[in-house]
Amino acid sequence: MKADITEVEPSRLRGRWIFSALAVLAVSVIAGLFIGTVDLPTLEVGRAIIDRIPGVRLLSGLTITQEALFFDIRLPRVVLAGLVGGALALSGAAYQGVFRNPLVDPYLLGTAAGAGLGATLAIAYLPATSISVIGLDIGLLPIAAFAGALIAVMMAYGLGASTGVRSSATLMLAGVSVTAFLTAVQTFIQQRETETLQRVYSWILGALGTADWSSVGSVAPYVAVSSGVILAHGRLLDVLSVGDDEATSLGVRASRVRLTVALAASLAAAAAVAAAGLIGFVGLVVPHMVRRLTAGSYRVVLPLSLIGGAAFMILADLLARTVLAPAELPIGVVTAFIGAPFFAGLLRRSRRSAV
Amino acid sequence: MIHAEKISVSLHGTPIVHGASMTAESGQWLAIIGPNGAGKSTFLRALAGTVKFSGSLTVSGQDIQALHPRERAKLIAYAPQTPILPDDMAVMDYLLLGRTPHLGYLGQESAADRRIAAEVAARLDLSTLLRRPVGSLSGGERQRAILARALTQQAGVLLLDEPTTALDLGHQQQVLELVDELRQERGLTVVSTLHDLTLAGQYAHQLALLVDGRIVTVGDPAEVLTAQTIAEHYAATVHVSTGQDGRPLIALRRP
Repeated sequence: MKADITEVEPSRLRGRWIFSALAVLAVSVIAGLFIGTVDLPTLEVGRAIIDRIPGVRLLSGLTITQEALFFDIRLPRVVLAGLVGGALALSGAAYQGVFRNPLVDPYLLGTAAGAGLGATLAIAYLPATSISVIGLDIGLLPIAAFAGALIAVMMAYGLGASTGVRSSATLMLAGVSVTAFLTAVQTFIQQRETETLQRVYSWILGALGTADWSSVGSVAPYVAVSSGVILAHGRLLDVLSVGDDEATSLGVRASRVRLTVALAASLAAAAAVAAAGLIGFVGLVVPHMVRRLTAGSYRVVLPLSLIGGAAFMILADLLARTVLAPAELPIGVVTAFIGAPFFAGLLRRSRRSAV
Repeated sequence: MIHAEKISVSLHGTPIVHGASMTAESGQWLAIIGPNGAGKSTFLRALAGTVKFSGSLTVSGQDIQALHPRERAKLIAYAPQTPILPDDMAVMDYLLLGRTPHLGYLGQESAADRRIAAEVAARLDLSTLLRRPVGSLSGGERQRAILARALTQQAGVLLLDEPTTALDLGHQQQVLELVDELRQERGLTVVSTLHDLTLAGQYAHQLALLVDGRIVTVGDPAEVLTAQTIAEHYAATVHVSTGQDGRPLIALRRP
């Protein structure tokens, strides 16, 4: 009996869960790096990687083109896909905790509509697609999308707070109305500037094709900061899951926790959208898969969603660029196309095992 | 000891509780009774700090409103009438939520916290259920888990909103017996709402009758539960008899 008492542990990341998640991630990274329209010799690439370690010199045997393909095209693309996927899945899981609603996705507070409007405005009215700052070419589209997403989230918050009711339902409704309003503005602009339609549309469907190290660099800091904030709040999201009343009686300021986590999640989602367009489904499905396969505690769901989302997106991008090669499928189409049936299967299977 | 002085609460601009005062002595059980809609739950929520109120609230002389929410939560534990239970959370994790006020903002449970939760679980016969998801518990087990969550908080004052809701007769008795045992073992001060007058009379030391947001009578069960008082405030015709232990027993009578 005594042993029983001390053996009791809270749900936490079990070794085999992390190991499985990291193994899946590793496989998807390797697949993403080596599968493509051009085959890369594995051994030589390995040598080239070792050659890049400071202080080590090793002749890789790769041609300059092969080396550029690996280090400047495939690698940043895989890294960006991982960052975007991880950010969206983590952000979705965080939103689901904040709003105590499993059907919520990272675009709930207007992120998607704001980013869409920002991108549309940039495509329709900005004279150039990029500006040169101290020799660096900076794309304006991601900046416009990022700013639009953040402005939308702030509008939703402002609207929600102005009602004086600090409930999650109020915030959700504020997000819905901001989304509706911004989408209407975007439709209006598109209708007036019909020649922008094609470009706006292809941006909305999402793309990782233009990935390079500078796009990785523009996403990574936001993803790192917001992931840190969200992961640290895992236990508090568990507390919120018993409702605001009980959370308050446990000494937690529910509205403050919600604000902090939702802002961090919005930041991650905005960065992801700015880099890769509107990629749906990842933020909704990956946390559910994690939850069904492991435990219900956010201390488990959040970190595994981050890893799982990265792996999911790398594989989705691999499919997007190989299925119809040399043409590329929009990544958003792929995530939904493979995500939906997979999720349906998971739902059916777990329902059967629950009976 | 928990002392409430002239507590008033408005919800969405509607006044619900009007200057209600009460005192529950240390180690005693005070039951708040009253007809439907009298404001019992709202009053209890004010004591728990989950709704804004005016008036003063002290626990052992300490002004609760001046305290950080975390410090307040170390003194007062609260179990709502219909708690939101996260169905897929393990019972153990649910109990450990009770340790929240004892942790820092982003703190995690230590071995000592886990021991406290495990000890409470053993006391409430939940040890074999700890890995089960909360959603799979039966009604009685669920009520014990909720109680265990509140006890894990290790606060001296326990607020229970209708702890017997949705339980059958046997489970009602079990839960109230358990609360009473725990009160004696741990010296807890219990304040609960109870709509069943006989049950309230059986278990509480003091009854506070709340009608239309005002406390109209406070006293021991035999003083408060008279046929006349019940007729006046509940519009019910009852027969009050005295049980073996001197506590009142209430039976409905056809008018």
